[in-house]
Amino acid sequence: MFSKILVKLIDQAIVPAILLIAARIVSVVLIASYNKIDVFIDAAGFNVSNPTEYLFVNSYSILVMGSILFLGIAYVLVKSYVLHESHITPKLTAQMFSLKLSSFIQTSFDLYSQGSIWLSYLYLLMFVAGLMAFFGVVYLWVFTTLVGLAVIATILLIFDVEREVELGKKSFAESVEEEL
Amino acid sequence: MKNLTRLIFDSLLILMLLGMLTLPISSIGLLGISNKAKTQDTQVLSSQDTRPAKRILIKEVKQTTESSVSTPSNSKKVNQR
Repeated sequence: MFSKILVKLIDQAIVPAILLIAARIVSVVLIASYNKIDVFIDAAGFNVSNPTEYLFVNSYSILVMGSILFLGIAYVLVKSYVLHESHITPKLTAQMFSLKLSSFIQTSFDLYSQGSIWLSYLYLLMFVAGLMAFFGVVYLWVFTTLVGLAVIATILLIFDVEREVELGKKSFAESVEEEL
Repeated sequence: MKNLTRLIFDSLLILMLLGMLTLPISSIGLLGISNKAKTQDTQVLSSQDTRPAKRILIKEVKQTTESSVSTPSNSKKVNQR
């Protein structure tokens, strides 16, 4: 069971990992070109010419990464609130099947493994941004924004887990009553 | 034996998961400050060197130009040879 969870988590971590790396590269290039900042590419990666430009590009790029992570979490949250297998409405289920989108209806195991991975990425990014803000290589407001996003995402996910636990308790109580 | 194999497999999976989690975050290190800027900075700093410059006394200069330069002690031996 433990290895099954780990394999599932690794499987779910691939898409956000690729998205984050792509977001970093694209955001650095776009932010630099939009603000007419020269970016040199060498073996070490992207380089800017002075620390002020580095602070600017780095901060906004981390903000873009955080926003993409929050969008991913929002997608998972919408699925877990609306399209959760345990509490999806019959009407919506019928609509999803008629639109051939039944794959969007997911189990708790799928949804919570996705949510935990996206949330882990957001917490890791927040931690790194905090360290960078401490050393003055990222604006402090970027770090505080990431803290806010992480707190909101965590609270929303906890609400859904709580509702799921209550539903589980109810169904368990009903099954016990039927047996009695 | 089976438990040991499972333990190794699980630990490898955990390592893989940690790698997957840290890899995209470490992409932050892709951006840096170019070496040209660093070299320019060091050049600016070197021009602000506060150590006193070496001075040669005019007397010493005169002595070397006007007075005969002392011949090395082994020069005679070299001539004799």
